[in-house]
Formats: sequence, structure tokens, C-alpha cells
Amino acid sequence: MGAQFLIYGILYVVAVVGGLMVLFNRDTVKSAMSLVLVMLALAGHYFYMGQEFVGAIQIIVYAGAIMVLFLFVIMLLNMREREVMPWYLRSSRYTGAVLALAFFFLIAFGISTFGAVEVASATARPAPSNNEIFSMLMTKYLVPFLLTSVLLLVAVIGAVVMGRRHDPETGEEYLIDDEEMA
Amino acid sequence: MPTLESLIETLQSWHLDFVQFAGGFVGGPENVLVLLFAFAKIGLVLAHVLGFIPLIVYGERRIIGLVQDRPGPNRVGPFGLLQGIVDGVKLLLKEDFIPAHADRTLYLIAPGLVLVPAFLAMCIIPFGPVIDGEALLALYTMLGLESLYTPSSTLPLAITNPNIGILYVFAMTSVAVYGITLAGWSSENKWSLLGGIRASAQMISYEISMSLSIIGVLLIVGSLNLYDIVGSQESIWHWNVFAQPVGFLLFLTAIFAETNRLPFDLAEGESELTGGFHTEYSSMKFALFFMAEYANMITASAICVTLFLGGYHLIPAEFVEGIIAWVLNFISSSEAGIPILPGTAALLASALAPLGIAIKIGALLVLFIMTRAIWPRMRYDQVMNLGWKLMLVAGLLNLLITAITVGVLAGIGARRAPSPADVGASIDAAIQNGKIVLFFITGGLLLLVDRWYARRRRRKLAAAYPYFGRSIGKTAGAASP
Repeated sequence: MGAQFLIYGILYVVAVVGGLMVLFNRDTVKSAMSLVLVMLALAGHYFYMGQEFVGAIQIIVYAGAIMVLFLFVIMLLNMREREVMPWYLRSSRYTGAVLALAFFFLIAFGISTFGAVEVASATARPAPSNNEIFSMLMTKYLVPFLLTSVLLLVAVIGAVVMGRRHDPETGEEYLIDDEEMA
Repeated sequence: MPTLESLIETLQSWHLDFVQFAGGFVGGPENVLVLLFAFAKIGLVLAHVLGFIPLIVYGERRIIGLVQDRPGPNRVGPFGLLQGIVDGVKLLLKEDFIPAHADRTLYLIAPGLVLVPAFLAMCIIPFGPVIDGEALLALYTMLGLESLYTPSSTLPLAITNPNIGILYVFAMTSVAVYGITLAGWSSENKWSLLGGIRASAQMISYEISMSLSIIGVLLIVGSLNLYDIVGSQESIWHWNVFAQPVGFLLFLTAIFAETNRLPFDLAEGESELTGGFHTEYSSMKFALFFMAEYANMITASAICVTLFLGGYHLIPAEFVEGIIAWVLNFISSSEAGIPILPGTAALLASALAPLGIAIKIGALLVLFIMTRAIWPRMRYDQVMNLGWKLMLVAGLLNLLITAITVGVLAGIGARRAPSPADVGASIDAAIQNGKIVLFFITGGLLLLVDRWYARRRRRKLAAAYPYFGRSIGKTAGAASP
């Protein structure tokens, strides 16, 4: 019990501190790196619960792919500290507040529906084997799984369409320049 | 004067006392053994990788010297073997310089972020077989811990052996991008930044080909676990390189790109970028980048060997075991009084297995070095074209062909195909999760409205203040009315 408590405690502190660093860092790159830290701490939780597959996917997808793209975009746009929060985005604060409240209620709803006790006992449950997970994807969750791939395809095509502009005078297609992107 | 036997006996009983004492903290003496063996394995792997890096650097310079018809380093120590140590000392004594304009925090953590994932990925490489049964009993007896042996206890010669195996490797390699990217960004130097951006773009691009190239192997073996993958390649004809030649070539190319080695070392590109992402680094921080490059090469080679070249299998284990058993038999029969435990031959054979993987890793490292000696650096658009237009397509085709072949060989009906009932059940499951989906759709719509509102305000203001034109909204306070 002692060692388990210690490891969960460390991971918990890292995740929470990382989350606070995401919020309070004015530097975009540091904020993104703090988010990576949160993702890694969450993956640590999953690993320690015995849910190795979820943990590995957490690192590969979030820490390894999404956050690298975030960082890549930040670097390409060369966003330094002074450029956070353009004035015309200030109205977004209210949207953000509404979304944050809604998310809080979603979490509260989740915990009240499924119960905190059951979440804790997930640790004791044996982790499903890789084969079980993959056959679930191919049977029980087939439709959501396929829909996800369609969604990704739409996103890729959308990115290409948004990246290209049609010049009405010459009829030429050209890639959007960073002047317009910013 | 205590005799040797009594000394060994005291030591052995002390071992047992310690293990039983520590067992009180971690839930049983077996766990202490697991922890102790884990620490021993971590120490051994770390020491070997770190210890071999200077030798590899030396070997690289000598081999390139050979290729270019010049001697290479040959003055320090016999054949110049101590050159690595001298270089290390030189780097240690150099001034540790931090540019005034650099982002200090990120600048300081970047070298560590490059080095750590390389070592983390080494954690799951199987260096030898799983020791169990008689061999493990022999090991426990030698340590004086035979009372802790149970028939179910095993000792895999890998630091850890998770079921997700290869996914863990991908998790680590995907995190490896950060170090180089951040080093380039935090230096606040345009060459470094260009190097960092190039590195991240290249590593993201080739990660896809790398993942695709090994799915063929996973399909053939039917498991993600590295011990299962190595176990299926026991004899040389079962090495995956023969079943998956295209996959092997793609993987090999991808690891060259992932480790930023020639012909893909655009992140450094000294002729264009004066050194790329590590331009602003000096002294030991530069040495860390240097070490990380070689640690990454070792790790990538180890993964390649494990997946495609039979892992630690080199000479059949029974053959080695037979020779060792014969030698042991000779010793015990010639000098009475040295009893040989029954599992010793198997134990020693397992202990020699890491030599097999070490030889193969060495061979791949020579390939890395020779490639550097004979290939020019590629142009950036060539790198991107190769990754996205050739390797990705080849990987997908290879996957398709392998999947069909494996499916046909296994018998299409052997595995359960999705039925109409599954489709219905999965739609039900999707509807059950609909509340959460609804939440995200609502949130997304809110964001869209918000974006539209912000854009309208920006347009209005731009129309009202034509002088600012397009520059309105680009900087925080300056253009704000």
C-alpha cells in the first residue's frame, strides 16, 4: 500500500502542477511543454493501473503527435510571449468561462453517474489483453471506429482545402501564405 | 582467518536476511528480488550503452578514415583507443556558455530531453532469454536465496517486458522529437530554429513510415510483445527480414531519418545551418547531444535487430548449452569437490545470449557509419518526397500484401469477422456515448459562433481604421484602439 500510494501521489502532483503550469505560463512553448508533462503523468497513471495499452496510446497520440504538432505550429508562426491573446479574441473569455463550467458539470455528472468508488476499483480489475482490445474495436466499437477514420479523412481534406486559395483573376491555385494565416 | 567457504556462507546468509528485511516494505521478499534484479539490469544496460559510446565514436572516425584513405585518430593510447576519453575530458573542461538571449529553462532541459527517451526505449529490448526452471534455481542457489525459488518465478533478460512491447518503443521515439525541437527554439538563433523545425518535420514524417513498416512483422507474429517477436525468429531462416524484406528496408531508412544521421542529418547540416539545433551549445551540453545521437543509434539498431534480425538468437542455444555442459562436466570430474548445480549450463548459455544481440547491433552500427562515409546529404525536398510519396505508399502496399497473405495462410474464416449484429451493437454503444458527443458538438458550435463574432469585430474595426489595414489584430496592444 505504501509504495503504491507514494507513486500515485507523485504522479498526481506532477499532473496537477503541470496543469497549473499550462494555465499560468504566458510563454506558449512552455505552456505546451507543461501539457506534455500532464499527458506523461496521465500515461504514468494508466501504466501503474496495469492499463498499458491505454498508457502507450496516451503517449503516442497526445504527447507524441498532437503536442508535437502544437509545438510545430507555434514555432512556424514564431509566437513569442508578446503575441499571446490578440485583443480581438478577448470576447472568447466568456465563451471559455461557459465551456469550463459546462465541462465541470460534465465531470461532476460522470462521477455521480458511475460513482467514484467504481473508478478506484478499476485498479484492481485485470487489464484487458491486447487481443481483447483489438477485437472489441473490430466488433463492439466497429461503427465508431470506422466513423473516426472518416472524420480523420475529412480533417485531412479540409486542411488541404483551407491551405489552398483560388485566385479569381488568374484562376491559379496557390498555397496560403503566412501573412494571411496570422 | 575464515575459510573461503565460511565467508561465502556468511555472505549468503546476509543476503537472505537483507532480502527478508526489505521484503517488509514492498510486500514480500519476492518483490525485493524483482527490484534488485531490475536495478542490476538497468545498471548493466546503462553502463554498456554509455561505455560503448566512446568506442563507437572512435570506430566511426577510424572507419571513415579507412574509407577516405587516411589513418584517423591513432595517437592517444594503443591504436588511438583512448581518443574518446581525451575528447570527453576536453569537452568537460571547455567553457559552459549560455547565450544571453536564450530561453534559459528550455535551453537547459533540451539536452536531457534528447538523451532520456533513447535510454527509456532500451528498457524493453530483450537481451537474452527468460531464465526459469532449473537455471533460475541454480542462480538463486549461487546467491544463497534458494528458499525464495518457486516453480513459477522467472527472470527475463530484459529490463521490463510489457505486453504492449513495440507500442512502448513508439511512445518513446515519438517523445524524442521534443529535445531537438526545443534546443532549436530556445537558442533564439535562426540557424538553430531552422534546424529544430527541420528535425521535427522530418521525425514526424518518418515516424509514420516506421510504424507502417513494422505492422507486417506484427501481423506475421500476431503479438506486440518483443519476447514473442524474438521467439518466433529462433532459427536464421525464420528471421523476419526474409519474410518482410520491404518492411526491413523501410524500417532501416526510417531509423536513419529518426536518428538524424546522414543522409538525413538536415537538422545539423553544417554547411547550411552552421550546426543546426546545437549551434549555441557548448561543453558538456554539447556532449550530451553528441552522446544522445549515438545512444539513439544503439537503441534504433537494437529495435531493428529485435524486430527483423532474430534478436539475441545467433548460435542455437542447445549447441552453446551442450558445449558449456561438456566443459563443466570436465571441470567437475577432474577436480573432485566442485559440485556443479544441474541448471548451470543453461544459466551460462542464457548469460552468453546478450553477446548475440551485441554482435548484430555492432554490425548495424558499422552500416550506419559506412552510410555516413559514402552518402551525400539529401536535399530537404528530397527527404520529404521520399518520406511521404515513396515510403508511405510502399509501407501501405507492403501492409496490404502482408495482410492478404497472412489472411489467406491463416484461413480467412479462422478469425472472427465482424457480423451485422456487431454493427448494430456498436451503433447502440455509439448512441449511449451520445451525451458526451453532444457536449462536444455544443462546445464546438459555441466556439464557431465565437470565432465568427471575433472575425466580424475585426472586419468592422479594420473598415473603421483603414490606416491599420491588415495589421489590425496582429499584435496585442499596439493596434488596439
